[in-house]
Amino acid sequence: MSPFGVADRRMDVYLPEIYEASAGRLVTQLYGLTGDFAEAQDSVQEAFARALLRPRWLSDVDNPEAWLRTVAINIARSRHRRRKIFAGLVRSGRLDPTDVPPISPDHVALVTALQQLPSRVREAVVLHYIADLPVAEVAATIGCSIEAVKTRLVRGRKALAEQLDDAFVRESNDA
Amino acid sequence: MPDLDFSGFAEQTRAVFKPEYADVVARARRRRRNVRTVGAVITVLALIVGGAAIHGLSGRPVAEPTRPKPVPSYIQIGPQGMSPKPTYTLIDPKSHVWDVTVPDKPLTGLFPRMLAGDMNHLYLEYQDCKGSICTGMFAASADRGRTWQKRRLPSADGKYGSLMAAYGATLVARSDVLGRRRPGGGAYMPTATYFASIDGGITWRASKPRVVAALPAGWPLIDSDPGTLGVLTAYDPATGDIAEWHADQGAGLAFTLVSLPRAAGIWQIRTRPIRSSPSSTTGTSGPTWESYLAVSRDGGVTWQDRTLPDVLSGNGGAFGSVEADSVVTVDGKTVVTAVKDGDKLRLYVSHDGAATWKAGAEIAPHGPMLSILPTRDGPILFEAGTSAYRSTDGGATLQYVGPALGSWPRAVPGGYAEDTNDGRFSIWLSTDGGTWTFVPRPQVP
Repeated sequence: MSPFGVADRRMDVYLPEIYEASAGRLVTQLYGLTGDFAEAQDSVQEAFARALLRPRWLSDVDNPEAWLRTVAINIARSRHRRRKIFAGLVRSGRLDPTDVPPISPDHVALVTALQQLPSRVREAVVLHYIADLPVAEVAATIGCSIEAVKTRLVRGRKALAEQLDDAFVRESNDA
Repeated sequence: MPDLDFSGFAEQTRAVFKPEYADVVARARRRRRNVRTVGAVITVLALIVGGAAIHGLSGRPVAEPTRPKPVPSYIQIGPQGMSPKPTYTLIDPKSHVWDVTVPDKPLTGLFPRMLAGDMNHLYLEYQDCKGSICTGMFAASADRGRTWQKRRLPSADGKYGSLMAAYGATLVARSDVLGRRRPGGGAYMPTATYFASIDGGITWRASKPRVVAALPAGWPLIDSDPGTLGVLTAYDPATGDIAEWHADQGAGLAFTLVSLPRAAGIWQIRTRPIRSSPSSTTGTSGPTWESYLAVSRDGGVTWQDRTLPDVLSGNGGAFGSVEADSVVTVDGKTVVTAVKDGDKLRLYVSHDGAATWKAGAEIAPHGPMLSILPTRDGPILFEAGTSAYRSTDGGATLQYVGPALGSWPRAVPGGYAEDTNDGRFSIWLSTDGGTWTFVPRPQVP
């Protein structure tokens, strides 16, 4: 029995399936964008919670995962702005207080390097290389021209390679 | 050089994620309880203040989740009417192929845009394919597109050079602009080979970069070899000779605005750490990043820090920094950028070389920002969505002047050029930034 009444019965069946299929992917993409694994999980969980409260919105879209991604990104952005203004507020309901998930150091370095990129470049890189979106869909998602996306991808790859190579050289010298 | 292992990162991160659908349900319950509580409070306040109408708030969420509005696919409305929508070329990230070229299409690659050496010399790169075997070619015009000659791109070690820059009949090409795959897997950026021509690409010579302490005045910038770190690259517009300036060891990350005229100085967007602030999650400190501008007027020897509008400079490490191709100047004094906020775009203008900024006009273009072009005579051209706007009062107001022409307008010798971005691979030219003439591309191959 749905805790939200008869009108949400369809979402009772539908949303858990979407969650099982998409949540992991979305958390990965938000982690690439924010550099904070807990924040990424939080934002994705919130996005699904909002979808559960507004089942009609999700059922009207062609691509639920894309819609949820947009909502999760907006949540993360909004929290980031609020965090800057209200530093010190404690957020409750965190699933896992750990910032760095148990993944390999190389992948942690990749996420760290991603955070050095300007936000627009990082968004394009994450959506294309991690979310596997075609260039045109990246352009539509972040609201810019296809040419701009291509430019950002080139610059992003170059900057990431430079950052990681720099770190690689430092590690080699320290070894 | 380490590989950019996006696939492995995604796979590993997904594996460590622990699904918690019960938490989703619990959060939804909490939101609904909070909404009802807030709604009750607002209703009580309304009664206290005399029942002033607060429509639709009682019992409904305080902060409505935003339903994403569909962003329209880009459509160019040109003199010939509606043009085809732009198409994108395919890429396979899983195989580490960085090249977005579709192998058998003539006009393809990362930047299939027409180069303007000046108002008369135009160049368009393409490939002539027989099955999967493609020859690197380009079309050249010396009479503003009335006639075209088709020539072969220079090559070395089996790799074609790609056109990087044009100044009149001087051309610069570079091979190895794309990643290569190692035999064992993974990708890397090899050292580039430069080529120069001073006769519009009829003959070419190898042009080996020379490292200099200061880039010579008047040498336009080009994007540096992707395999290098902290390097500025420029070419002699008369000979095609290449010069490289190398940053000091430990210089931070910087994006150079290579398409700005050299007379305006060399501009970079840089980031630097500002005070460390404790994370609200772990309590550990981490740097907060700030974006700013830096300009050199002596070829890289000395740099002066400049500001960005406050709304853009904060925390360049996460959300909030500016993208490199949206800060534009043609004279080094009037600098223009734009900030996107939801559906709106606002201009920011500096008239003192980015020492100070003033917020300018705001529009709701219902589409992406395409271009900013402050002209030498004063007016600012601004394109977003499907529209072109012009400001004649330093950015304080914008007037709609017609459909957008394309994207990437820039100053070139003798005037300005702007590419179409709707799949036509053509160009608009103007001597004053106000009146533009369309020049269609040649038929290729």
